[in-house]
Amino acid sequence: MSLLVFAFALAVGILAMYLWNLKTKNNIRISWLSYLLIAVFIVWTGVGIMVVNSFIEEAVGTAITTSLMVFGITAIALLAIIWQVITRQNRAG
Amino acid sequence: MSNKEISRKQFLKGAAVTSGAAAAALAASSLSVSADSGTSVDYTKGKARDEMGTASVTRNLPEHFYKRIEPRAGYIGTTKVNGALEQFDAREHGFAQIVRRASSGDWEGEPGDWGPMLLAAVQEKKKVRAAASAEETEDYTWSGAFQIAMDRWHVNLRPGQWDPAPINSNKLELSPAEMTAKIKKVARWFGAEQVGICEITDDLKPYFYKKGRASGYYTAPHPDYADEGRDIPWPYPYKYCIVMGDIADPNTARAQRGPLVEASAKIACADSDFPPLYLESIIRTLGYDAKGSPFSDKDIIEAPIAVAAGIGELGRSGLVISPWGAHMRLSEVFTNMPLVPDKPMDFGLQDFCKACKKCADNCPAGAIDGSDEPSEQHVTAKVVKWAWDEKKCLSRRLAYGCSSCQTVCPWTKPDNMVHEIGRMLAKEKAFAPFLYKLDDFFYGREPAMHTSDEYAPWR
Repeated sequence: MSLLVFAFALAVGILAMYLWNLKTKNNIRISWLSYLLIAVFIVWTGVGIMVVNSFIEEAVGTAITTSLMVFGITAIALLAIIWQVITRQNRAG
Repeated sequence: MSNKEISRKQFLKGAAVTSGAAAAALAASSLSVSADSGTSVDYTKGKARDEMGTASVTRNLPEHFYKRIEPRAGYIGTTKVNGALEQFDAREHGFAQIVRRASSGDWEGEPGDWGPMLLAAVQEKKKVRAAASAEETEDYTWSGAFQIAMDRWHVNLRPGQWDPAPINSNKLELSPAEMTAKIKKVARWFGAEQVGICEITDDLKPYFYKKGRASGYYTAPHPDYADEGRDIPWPYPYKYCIVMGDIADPNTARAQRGPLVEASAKIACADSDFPPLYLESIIRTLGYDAKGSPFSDKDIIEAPIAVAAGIGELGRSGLVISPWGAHMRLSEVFTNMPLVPDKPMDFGLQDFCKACKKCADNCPAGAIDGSDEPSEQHVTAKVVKWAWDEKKCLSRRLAYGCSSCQTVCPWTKPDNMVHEIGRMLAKEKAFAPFLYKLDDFFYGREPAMHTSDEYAPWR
């Protein structure tokens, strides 16, 4: 389990580095609002993983499905909003 | 260096960031308070369980889950008591009624009395078994065998059968505070997830039987069954009661009804005989008088004693509910060892039960009162609590097996980070309506039941 967590965190770190390099290379500007939304997305996804994992341990099917939908759909929506905010800001600028 | 190459500075920066993220994630996962830290047993793969069942809770009840309240006149913990009534004869409680009537064939009584209700339950049970599939029939056969396994412990530990250890003339002299801390730690080592101590005072007299059972049978029938009973003395010869709460196996209890939950409950019942007798022998060897209370040798109605000992609060269902949940089995040992009694606890259950009503909505027998507010009930005292119809409850349990109220209770949850937050919030009155609705949202107002396929040890 610890190995899985380590591997997952490593992958997240590599992705974060790649995105940062992309931002630097393409001079993508990110406002404080976008950073805030990114932070909310990370926290929401982290909490969602915890909640879903907890329901998987309890083996409660309805709770697993419901929590996946609630946290998953909201995370996707947040991601879309972040994408749009950054895109529009850089297009305007 | 070309555009595609990575500089040494970039590489080191990248490695630092990913290592930091990985370390943080690893640290966060180790902070998880789940029992899944290598000590719990996955019985679904046929592994051995520990002697007190599969523990879903391994740590002491955190202090931020509850507050201690001062004992008050006219209250047992958070439950109001308006006066004492007559003490109870244990030979009249539901389990004893089943054994006596099934053994004698006497089902006489007015409609709504024990006799006719239990007869209807027995007949319903026969119908259920006759309609069962081959697989269900085998499940009931195993469950019945588990019941007999439990019953043999009860029979062989009935009053007069147990040979207590002699009281050692050399006393282990420790301060009451130190002795209390050590005996609680020992009780937890024997498998009790919670331990509390109360002093036996006059206001607890209504909850001591006037006559206890002498028979150890909890299954029937027995052609020569008789129970002369035994007098329970008052003043009671012991000053303190050590109450132990064993959190039951959640996965088999979540079957709610049927052979799986009956097998689970019966073995938990037998398991709860051992810690009080272990402690009795230990305390007597330490030089103090003690009497353990296995299930077939009870002198008390357990719930009020457990509430006085600070184990939990009395819930709508009539069960003693702790922040760990409603699936807690109680056992006791009485002693004159100098101890420090615990104060009762308050974790907001009364306000939560007023709003929630999930046990009442899910009770297949309709035995639990669904009113908003509790009212005065006359049992062995005038207790302000929600009404519970023991005849409906036990009749249903006899016919089908049942643990619905225990397992649908929103407090009955494993110990992990998510429910840690829930337990902390739920003790505040303002959060109660939101939290039980959240429980309904994720688990359903009528939670799904676990099946024998998934969890029965014989499958």
